[in-house]
Amino acid sequence: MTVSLEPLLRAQLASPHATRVLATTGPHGDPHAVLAPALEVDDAGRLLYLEPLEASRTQRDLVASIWFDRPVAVVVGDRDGTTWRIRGRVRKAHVAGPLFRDRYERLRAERPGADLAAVWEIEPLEVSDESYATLRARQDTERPFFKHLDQLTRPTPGRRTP
Amino acid sequence: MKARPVELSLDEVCAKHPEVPRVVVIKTDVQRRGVFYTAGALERLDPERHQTTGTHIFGARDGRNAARPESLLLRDGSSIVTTPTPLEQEPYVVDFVDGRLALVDGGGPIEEVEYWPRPDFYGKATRSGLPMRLVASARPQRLNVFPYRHCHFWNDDEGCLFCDIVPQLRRGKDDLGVPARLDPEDVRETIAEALKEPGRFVGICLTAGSNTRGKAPFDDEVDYYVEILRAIGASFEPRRFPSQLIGTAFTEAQLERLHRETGLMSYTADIEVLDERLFGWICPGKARWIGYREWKRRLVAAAGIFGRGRVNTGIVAGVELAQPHGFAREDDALDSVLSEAEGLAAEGVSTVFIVWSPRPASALGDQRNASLDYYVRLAKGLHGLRVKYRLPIEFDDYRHCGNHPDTDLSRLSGVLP
Repeated sequence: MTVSLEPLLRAQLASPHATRVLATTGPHGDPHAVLAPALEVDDAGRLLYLEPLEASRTQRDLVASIWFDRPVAVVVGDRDGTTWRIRGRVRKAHVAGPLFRDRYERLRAERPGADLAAVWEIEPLEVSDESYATLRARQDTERPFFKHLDQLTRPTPGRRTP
Repeated sequence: MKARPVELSLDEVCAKHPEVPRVVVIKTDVQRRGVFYTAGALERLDPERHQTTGTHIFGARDGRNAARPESLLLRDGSSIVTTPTPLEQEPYVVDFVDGRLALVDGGGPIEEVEYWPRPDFYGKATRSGLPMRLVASARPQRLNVFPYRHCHFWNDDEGCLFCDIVPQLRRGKDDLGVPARLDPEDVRETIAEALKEPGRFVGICLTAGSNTRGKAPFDDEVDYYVEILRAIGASFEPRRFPSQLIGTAFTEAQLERLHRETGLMSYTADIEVLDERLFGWICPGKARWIGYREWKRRLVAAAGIFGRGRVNTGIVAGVELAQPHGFAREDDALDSVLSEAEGLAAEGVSTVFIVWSPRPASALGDQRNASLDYYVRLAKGLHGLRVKYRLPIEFDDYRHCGNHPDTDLSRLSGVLP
């Protein structure tokens, strides 16, 4: 089921400073990831990934995803350490029509040598806050046995008083 | 037309071939059974935004030339090139369901579809006053030019038995005003205009009926293709441009001329049916003027000129089962077709198929095509041959044609290292 993206995440996806990574799997399960600077979110809350090359591994993997209903993952990280992971379903490849043309023209205006193979529409199925601070706090609370003991020691050892 | 026998259903075929994507199986079945547009679906057709039926050289299964959606785009970016089909023949239905166009079967939507977008040049005319939409037509990513709409095999009543090109030529002329022969200048202007649309096209396909005339047979056909290809080439900076010519099987001299004097990058000569005996029955004109073995020999010669992976042949899949002379069993037909296709693949020539769509104005118009399972097995087989012999098929893939389920499967191959 499609989930909506929080305003904070939308803002991060719109930020030029954010790092965006798209992770896919190939037809035989081989993992692959690319930096995806041209990943955006549209008004309906869907992710749009602009794939520049028809012969790329990512393009092939996205075809495999849409054909065999395999999820993809998007990781968005900002300079302050905020990191989101989005699990998504590849819903549609735009290869012609108004959306494709708009992105093609925009891309060519920014980089005249660029090409665009497809605009892939990805529906977010699950969003999680993967920021280190968030995960660390959760682990400390929910999995207390995972922590190294030296991190629990007193600066000055001594007798514990009730 | 006879009712369909009991065959494996769509779900059963998908379960039998899990490595073939469901959307490709659906596409194949839609080509096999045709489509019917509901009033709700047709209400969403906007001629200002969508492409309506244009300069087809082949007719529809319901025998009408009315303005309807040209064809359909699928979610994976591929197309279904299909024909409107009467409801009594049990086609898929295209309807507007829950705010989206969808293919409907068995009472429910099974896949979302879109109409093809209309290209910018459709609203323009050439300096001679000819509407450009009658000079070239567009698929989502390909430009089609059908410069000559007569096939001379029909002059001696030797047209291919599945084909309705000449009756369609008459309809196209009467109903739409499509000229039988295009002026190269109209083509030059139209292509130049079409290429102004950013990001729309990745290839140009040129095809026409066979023309036996000339000093050597088919020289006139080659002369005209050279003229048209030069007119097209005038728009391009590089000498060669992504293009496909679907023509008759030409001699080495004719092929070398096409390669030398134009920017053509790939070549197709459709053998239609991969069986010598059936070729003689189904394609009498091709059989008499060239012959089955010579057709194949010329294809191999073409691969030597245009290069491996730049030459292929098309078959009208299912017509090998047409009666009274076709194969009685699908298994036998499949074995024979794949064996012949392998012989060509080993020599650098690909085979691609289209699903036979029996059209009422063709000699075999009252027969039915093959089972869905047959077409899926054929798609796997032909794709497997390209993998085995390392034959690329980019010039006839989902972007450059969209009408071959077997070449859709190549989308998972061919990644740059």
